[in-house]
Amino acid sequence: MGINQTLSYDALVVGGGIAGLQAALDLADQDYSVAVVERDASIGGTMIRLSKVFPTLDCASCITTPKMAAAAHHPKITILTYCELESMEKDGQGRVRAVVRKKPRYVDEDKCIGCRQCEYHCPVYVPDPDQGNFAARKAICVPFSNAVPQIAVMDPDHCMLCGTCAKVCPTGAVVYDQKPETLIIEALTAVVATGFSVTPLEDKAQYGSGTIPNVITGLQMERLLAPHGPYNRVLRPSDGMEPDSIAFVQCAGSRDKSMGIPYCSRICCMYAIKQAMLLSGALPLADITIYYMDIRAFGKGYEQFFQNAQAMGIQFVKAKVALIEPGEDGSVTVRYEDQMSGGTTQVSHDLVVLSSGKVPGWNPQGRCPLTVGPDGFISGPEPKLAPTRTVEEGIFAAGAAVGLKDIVDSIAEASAAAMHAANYLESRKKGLGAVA
Amino acid sequence: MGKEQGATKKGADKEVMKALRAARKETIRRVSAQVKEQKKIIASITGELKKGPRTVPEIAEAVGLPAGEVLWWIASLKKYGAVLEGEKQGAYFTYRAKD
Repeated sequence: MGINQTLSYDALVVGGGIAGLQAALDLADQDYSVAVVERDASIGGTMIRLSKVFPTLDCASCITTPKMAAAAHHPKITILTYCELESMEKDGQGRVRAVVRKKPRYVDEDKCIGCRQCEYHCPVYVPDPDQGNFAARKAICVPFSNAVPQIAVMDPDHCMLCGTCAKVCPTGAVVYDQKPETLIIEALTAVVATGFSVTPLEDKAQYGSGTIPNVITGLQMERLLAPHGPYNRVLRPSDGMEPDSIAFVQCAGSRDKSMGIPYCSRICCMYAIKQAMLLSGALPLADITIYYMDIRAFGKGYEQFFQNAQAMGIQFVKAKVALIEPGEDGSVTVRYEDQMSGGTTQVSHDLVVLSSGKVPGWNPQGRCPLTVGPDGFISGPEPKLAPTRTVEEGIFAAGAAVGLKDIVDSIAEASAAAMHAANYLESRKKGLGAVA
Repeated sequence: MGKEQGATKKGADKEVMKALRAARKETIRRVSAQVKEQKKIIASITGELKKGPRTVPEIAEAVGLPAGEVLWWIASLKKYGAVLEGEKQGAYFTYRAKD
């Protein structure tokens, strides 16, 4: 049904998170043309949704937005948001050929000026996943305040076709009957940077399967701590109380065979410590406890960061939490086995944050001939010496798509993938020149 | 000429809307009912706030909704400028309607 359009670039980057943007910028700065395909309506990935980053405590938005803008304004980079990669394979000449489904925004991207008049006037309030579902967006809205591009998206499942948005739009950008389009992207090389996602709260019965009020995920806590968060401060979601006692439950999914995630998710120790530090700044009188199995503070400056948190009075309890139950008046009861003193203990908290397991953000199976390991992350022939190589020559992978890693490592690996891709591009271009 | 273009466009829109409304009948019915309910809730919360600053549990009691749902509405109405945060009372913040 859709209109087919074929676009050609030197390189295709799949995923517009921090790794994908870094790879795209590194390639584009070497004068290669790059297309970035992003399934969300904005680039920026997980990082743009964070409050601050460890161990520097930089504001995530302040350091991600310039990269997003640099990529969006780069003359050699084309950003294709709200686009789903349907398939990607090599053709007979070794070129990468990707089929991309451009989802309808129901808004003309060329006409929308991001003024948000449609959003302000839309009468339908919808839970906003970009705010941890703690507040509403509208059925038509710009995804979030620092989204790139600043173009509205309509959610047809929550639209009653009242016509208000079209009426108030100053540029006539609303297109109620927009259809999905199919784009063909041809490139000489590709970098896959599809990131990770978080297992839902529903997955763990012992921790209430998402039904206990005031038990939230780490990413939801990021939103509570973010400057543009749903409440603009940290409040308990069940009733708006400022929490006096907050607990973090580590390995709430990771290193847990019963959850199908036997591996360590690698970033949870550090983000829990970071969130605990930010909380002790926001709520100086609150008791903050981290229940952990082991603290893995392996990166540069991480051990010092952990020690600073201990010095700040954050309590570290070496224990495996067995059970989480709803308590009195919105409190949460945590039952754990103390690994230092032994025996089971029961403690009540106002707010509990689960460090849920992290899983691959995208599965190449059936879409692309890349291979994955038993953990579901993209695998390659030389995991030690060339971690960004995949089984497909000319297709590289970087960031959390290859295996969970923090922002620093994701960026370093993205640059490495871009370097490999650039080398490959040079050899291909020489080869093609020789043939011609 | 601009006017003429506008008129043609509006005419086309009408046809398009008619076809879409027929195709999405179920969604429209569901969302319309939802919006009706939402408008009622917003009116009851802002109505309560017009009496003076209130905390979330106070609003919840007055309007007969779970406190978590009231907080969701307060956060949403604050985002779109209809509600402002006020003084703190104990462990709770108060909220007031925008003048």
